[in-house]
Amino acid sequence: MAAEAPGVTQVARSFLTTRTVLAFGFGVLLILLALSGVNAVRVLSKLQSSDEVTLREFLSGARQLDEVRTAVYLSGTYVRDYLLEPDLERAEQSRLALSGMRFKMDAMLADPNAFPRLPDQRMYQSLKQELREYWEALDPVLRWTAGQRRREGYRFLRDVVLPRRSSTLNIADTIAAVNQQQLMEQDHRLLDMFSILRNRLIGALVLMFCFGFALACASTVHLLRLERQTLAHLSEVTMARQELRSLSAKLVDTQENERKSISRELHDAVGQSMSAVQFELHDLAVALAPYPEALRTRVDRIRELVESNLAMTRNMALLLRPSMLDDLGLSAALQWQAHQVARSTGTEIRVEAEDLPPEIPDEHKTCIFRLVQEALNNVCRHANADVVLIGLRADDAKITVTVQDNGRGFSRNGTKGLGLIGMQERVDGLGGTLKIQSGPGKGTVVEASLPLPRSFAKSVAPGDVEEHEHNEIRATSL
Amino acid sequence: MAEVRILIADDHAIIRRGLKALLAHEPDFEIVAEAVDGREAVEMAQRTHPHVAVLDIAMPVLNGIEAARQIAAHVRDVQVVMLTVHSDECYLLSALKAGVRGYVLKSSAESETVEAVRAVSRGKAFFSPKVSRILADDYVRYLGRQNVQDSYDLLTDRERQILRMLAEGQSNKDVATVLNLSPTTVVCHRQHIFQKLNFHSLADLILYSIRKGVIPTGTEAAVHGG
Repeated sequence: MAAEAPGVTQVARSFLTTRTVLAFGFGVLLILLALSGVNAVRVLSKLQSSDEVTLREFLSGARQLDEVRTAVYLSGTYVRDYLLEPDLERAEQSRLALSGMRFKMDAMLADPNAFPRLPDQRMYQSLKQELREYWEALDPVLRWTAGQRRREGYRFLRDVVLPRRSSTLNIADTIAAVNQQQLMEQDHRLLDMFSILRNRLIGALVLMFCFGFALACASTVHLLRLERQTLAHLSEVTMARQELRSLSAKLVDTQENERKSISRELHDAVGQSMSAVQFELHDLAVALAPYPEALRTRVDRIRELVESNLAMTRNMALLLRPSMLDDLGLSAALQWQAHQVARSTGTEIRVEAEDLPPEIPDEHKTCIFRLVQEALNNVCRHANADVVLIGLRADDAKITVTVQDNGRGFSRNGTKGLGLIGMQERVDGLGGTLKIQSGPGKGTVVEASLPLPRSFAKSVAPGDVEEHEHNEIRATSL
Repeated sequence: MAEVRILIADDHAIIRRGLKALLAHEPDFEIVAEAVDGREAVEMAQRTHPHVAVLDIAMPVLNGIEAARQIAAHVRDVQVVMLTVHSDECYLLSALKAGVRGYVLKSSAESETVEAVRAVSRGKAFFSPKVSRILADDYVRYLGRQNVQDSYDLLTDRERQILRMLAEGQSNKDVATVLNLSPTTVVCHRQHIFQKLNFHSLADLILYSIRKGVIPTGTEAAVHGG
């Protein structure tokens, strides 16, 4: 693990960099989005309010001017009625109406907000001036006597009132035109602001698009690279696992071969030479017949020693690898193993081997034997079982072995023991499957299934050694 | 006295030499062939037609049990003595199934081989007393532990007698002659024995007899059998 630390740190650092870049990129994108949105909303609301103000100002200006115009027209009419009316009563009424009109107009002129705020205030000043002068011109007339009115009235009307009225109305018209123009100008300004807003929005969109595109490209490239790295890691891990598996298979193989060769060596070299020693000692004993008893006793003692050594050697060889497996086949070896375990533990162990193919590949035999050995070992150590059933059966494609006990079982939440791992390794090495079913108080079933190579498919060849357990023997004595 | 023609097969020269020396003491024994593996033993047996083949079990190419099976299948009138270090029941049973009627442990080879060869050459069986003892001990222990009643008690006296004679290697006809019974009766008894003791083959019967100590082994077998 310590060797991996720098690599891990490096990877963590690169993750950090990636995160920073991503956070920065998306952050900028979001900020741009928010800014342009806020800006657009603000501009739009400003546009809306300024549009309303303009319209309101225009309308109020236009109304004021209309009032002025109406007042001027009406005052002209009242003046004419006043001047030209022969009936005093009526003339007086017109004069009163004229005074009222004047009072109203004075009030309007005194109000500073009465007229639209045009950029050129001089026009209003001149309008006011004109109106003031108009009224001032009218002022003396109001105090005229009836005679004066009759004499001067028409002339005054023609020379003073009408020209002044038209000039006043002209000014009002000019102001209305200016007001109209101002409205149009305001419209233009609005349009300009809209186009500025549009340009800004387009700019922001282009910027965001470019930025987003760059971010997307960078992210995609990074993702693809990560994907590639992941794939590479995956294949690396797979390969490593495969290597590990083949290594462990090789290890198992090597161990088995080693055991086989040591066992054979013990049997052949040591065992046979001790057998030969026994033959020699027998000859020696025969040759010593004429000599004293004590000598022959010593030879006998040596023979006993050799015999017990021979037995020891054989037991060692069997512990390493039972010769039955190679000499008599799988089911005989399992019977023997079952017998050995039964004898030392008192557990009843039954072996049921049926219908096995005549030849089973060596590695399959070894694998199954070792599995059963390990399973029996587990049963004896942990299960506290009375009966163990070893079942062996085969069909064309596979050979299956089960070891079932009626012991106390176990729950499978613990970690696998080394024994189980070893079993799994062996089964994996031959491409088989291992199933272990157990539960507290339910006993345990270990089942391994190994695929058989095609060439070993079940066929009855003549003269096969293996597994003809129930065949009648050719008994010459019958 | 008729010559007994003998074939020896063992992959270890040292053992073959010891065996030869041992058998050479007997004037009526003649060693006609020596083989170093199972296949050679089968070939030589076919060529030289020995009366007795003494085979080691652990031999290269073809092991002794398979060689015995093939010899029994291909050569007439030959008896096999297994000479081995294995006292396990599975080896004995396999050998019995291969038709072997002589079984000698190497640890007592020098004292038993001659007897075994002589017994099987006369059509009798021979099993190392040590094997019988080991198997019998095992069997007794097994019975004691499993609390199983020994089915031997189910047999009648006559059936026990016939069981012993069959185990010793005598044929139905021999048994009929010795006991003065008709061969059909003997076959009938034989079937009863097989049923009562759940035997599937003669090998089972012999193994059982050895285990039970029903047949005297070694010297006694030869003496009683004679």
